[in-house]
Amino acid sequence: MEDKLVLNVDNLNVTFNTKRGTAKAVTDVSFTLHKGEKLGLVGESGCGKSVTCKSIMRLLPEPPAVLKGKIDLSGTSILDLTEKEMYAIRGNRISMIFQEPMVSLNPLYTIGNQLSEVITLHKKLSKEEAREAVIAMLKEVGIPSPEIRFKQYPFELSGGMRQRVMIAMALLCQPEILIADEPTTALDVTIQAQILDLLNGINKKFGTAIILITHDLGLVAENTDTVAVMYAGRIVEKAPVKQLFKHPQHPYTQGLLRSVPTMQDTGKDLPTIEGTVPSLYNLPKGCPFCTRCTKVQDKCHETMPPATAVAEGFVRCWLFADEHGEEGAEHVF
Amino acid sequence: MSSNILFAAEHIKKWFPVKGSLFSKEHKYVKAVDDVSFSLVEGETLGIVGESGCGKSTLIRVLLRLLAPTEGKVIFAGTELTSLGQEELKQYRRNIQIVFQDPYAALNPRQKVGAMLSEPLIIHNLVASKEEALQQAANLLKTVGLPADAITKYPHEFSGGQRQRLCIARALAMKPKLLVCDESVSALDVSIQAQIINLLMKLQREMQLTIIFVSHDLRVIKHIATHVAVMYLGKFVEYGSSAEVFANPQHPYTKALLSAIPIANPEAEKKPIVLQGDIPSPIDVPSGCAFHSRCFMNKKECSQLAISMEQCGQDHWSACPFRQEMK
Amino acid sequence: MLKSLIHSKTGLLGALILVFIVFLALTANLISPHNPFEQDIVHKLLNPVWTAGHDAKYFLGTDQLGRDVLSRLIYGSRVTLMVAFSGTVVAGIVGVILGCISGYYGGRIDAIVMRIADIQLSFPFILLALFIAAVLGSGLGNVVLIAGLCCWVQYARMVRGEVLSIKEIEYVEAVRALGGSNMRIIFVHILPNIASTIIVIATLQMARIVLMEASLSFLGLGVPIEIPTWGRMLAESRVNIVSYPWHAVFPGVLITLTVLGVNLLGDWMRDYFDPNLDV
Repeated sequence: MEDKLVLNVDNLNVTFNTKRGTAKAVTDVSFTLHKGEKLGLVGESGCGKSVTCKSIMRLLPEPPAVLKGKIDLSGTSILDLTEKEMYAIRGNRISMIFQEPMVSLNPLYTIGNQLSEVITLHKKLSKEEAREAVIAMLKEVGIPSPEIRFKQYPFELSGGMRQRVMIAMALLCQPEILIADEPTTALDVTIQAQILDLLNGINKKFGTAIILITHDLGLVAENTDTVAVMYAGRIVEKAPVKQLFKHPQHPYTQGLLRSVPTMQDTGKDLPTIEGTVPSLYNLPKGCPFCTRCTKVQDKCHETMPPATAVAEGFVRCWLFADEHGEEGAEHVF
Repeated sequence: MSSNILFAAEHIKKWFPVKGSLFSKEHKYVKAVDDVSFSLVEGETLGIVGESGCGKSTLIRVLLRLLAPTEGKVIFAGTELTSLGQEELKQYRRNIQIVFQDPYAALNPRQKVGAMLSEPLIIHNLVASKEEALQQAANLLKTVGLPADAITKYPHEFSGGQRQRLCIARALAMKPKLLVCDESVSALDVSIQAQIINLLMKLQREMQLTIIFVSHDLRVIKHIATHVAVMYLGKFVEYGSSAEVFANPQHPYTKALLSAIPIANPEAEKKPIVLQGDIPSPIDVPSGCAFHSRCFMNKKECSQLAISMEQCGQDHWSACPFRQEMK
Repeated sequence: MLKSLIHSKTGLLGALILVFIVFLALTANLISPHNPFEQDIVHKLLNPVWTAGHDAKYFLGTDQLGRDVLSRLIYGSRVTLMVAFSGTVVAGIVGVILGCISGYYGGRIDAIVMRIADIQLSFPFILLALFIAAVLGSGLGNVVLIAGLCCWVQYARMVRGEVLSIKEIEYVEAVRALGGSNMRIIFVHILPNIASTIIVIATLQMARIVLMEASLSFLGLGVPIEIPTWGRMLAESRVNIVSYPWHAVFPGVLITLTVLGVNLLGDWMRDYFDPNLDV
């Protein structure tokens, strides 16, 4: 699987300076993404998955956000670019779709207008060429009668359709990476299935790498190749999807998998993870999960464990690492 | 059937008129709820499953008499609620309470927790003084696993999961017999969801609650419901005991929903039935069986037949006349 | 609450300004160097102490009837404050009640109230003032009445809009489901949540009413002619403004200062009462 590396995130740190103090939204996050790979970023509210991806797109207001580290997009160093240079990246080499398709589209402009705008921003096309490209993409994402939809306004489309339009918008310039931030949370189960089907189809056909951000472990199990589990701003475990679900290493991953109601056990109490996520303004000195971990040791409170390679992935946990750990384990997998 | 039927709905219809244009004489309606009937035995948990636009939220509000039905009756412990006057209706409200979906919108941001929990007791004159009310409020907090000092705090000082606990505490203040949960865990993180589900089940055991749990998440429903009703465009398409419906779905829509559930196991074999098209609008409900426009069976007769629920098992009803032919 | 006020530079400034004005009003008879009604024709139209043509006895000069400007300014604060607060309260009560009823009950009542509001708005306030002056005469009470009549509409409209959206929120539904009455919902749940809007409107209106009083006095429709008000002083200074510009400056500055103080304090108050903001 020596596919081309499209994204290399190296020790990304994102902090927010606010009146209340400094919030450490993302700490020492490193991961890689290859062409055609589908990476799932899982975690609960406040774990940093959205902030990580918005950092890749430089969509965070800087200040108050402060970004440190390296983000390499096929040879381009994202963090060194100016805002103007980023315009050429966003929507062109990396695209993002969001959770609420209702509010992601401007209600005052037609679908065609908004989509054409994207493609003419990045490619030199005439109005007619842009229109053709847009209609072709609308067809590609499964929107029936695209010529008619071209002239319609967002309110005339259903939620599922709007999300398809968002996907079309994101794919128009054939980006290397598509980031999908909770794309189906606001949609119904049957529509969700359609959208994910579509994303998988796109991935196969165009080789677009996908980062799927979600809190739904079931979605991750079915639609990704690799999974990174985040907690309080850090990646605590990353592994190929089969390995993560079959042999979860990190206590948080294990707890998370257990607390999902499955179609099997009924009526019994669901195992839960006691306690709550620590505030990002006041993280523990060591591992952020130490306040809730059932297997916590003394050194967990003091030092953050390094990444240790486990089978085809890595995990950050003192249960696996010794003091030396394996530097760079997260860069290998 | 049973004599201890706590709650029953009979042919509930709720249609909202759509204002036509100046020139159209046509009266269009949003048929949010279109002939729903069911009955609940004390201690049961009925899960109502459906997607957006199916009418489950409207149905809940009619059952709670927050909306008046266009047609049909709601019967609680033998009394027909639709015929009650204002004062009697207020009394009835002590018996059935609701926990909403959004814990951020369900609490008045300007009201302290103590006042919020005392409110139901004060409204119904269940306490003699404010101190007594606060005392009971502290007890309620204990029941839902929150510290007593929450009394002086404002909702925004709590997390989503904690706020939902506050909502549950408020709903239980008057010791209702029936608790309606409208997507009460949908807005919560997975691990918090588990905590709240466990809490609800524990409270049900301790307080002998009957629960109606509305959700779009079949996994949660399977976990806690004894009975399931699958709703589509204002009607129940399948109804029965949870075990039967999940093991042996007798309606194509139920089958599609079940197959669309993401399974947290990458090695699981799954043949998802991907339904084509979007959910139709409740203003323009397809003729005959409302589901025919997306059904994988969709026979010629489906757009013309009058559909009703037929019994297909000991505790199992389905609205699909062709259920035997489902693969 | 005090701590928060001290922390907010603008809020504190606003509060200090208003405290100063209130102090002037309360202690007027103690701190005024002269009797504001006493006329001294011999020493009329004097300038402030730091300019030519002054008399040390009258610190800020005298007006065209020889009355001490400083004393009149100090006494003028009384009328201004009285009119500003009373007018705001009257307009506020009427506007909020009508807006609440209109928004909450909707239907016919809503339509009627809003039409009355529209009619009210299309009436120029000067015309209204003239009408009331003609029918009821002039005087402090009537100024307050005019202020109330002209300003209630803004409250009503904003409140109606907010009530319309709040009454659909889940926490209101929850209280209904608990058996709460409409009165309870309006007073316990809706009004506290629109308090910040009302405060903002109140500060804007208060400023407007101060200016309104100034205009009315300017036109001779306000309080009795011998009572000093800043508006009247502005008006009276008009005649000689070319030769004696200072007489317009002081009342103008005080009016501006009061309006500024009200707005700054109002801003802070609105932020303070919003439980979501970390003030």
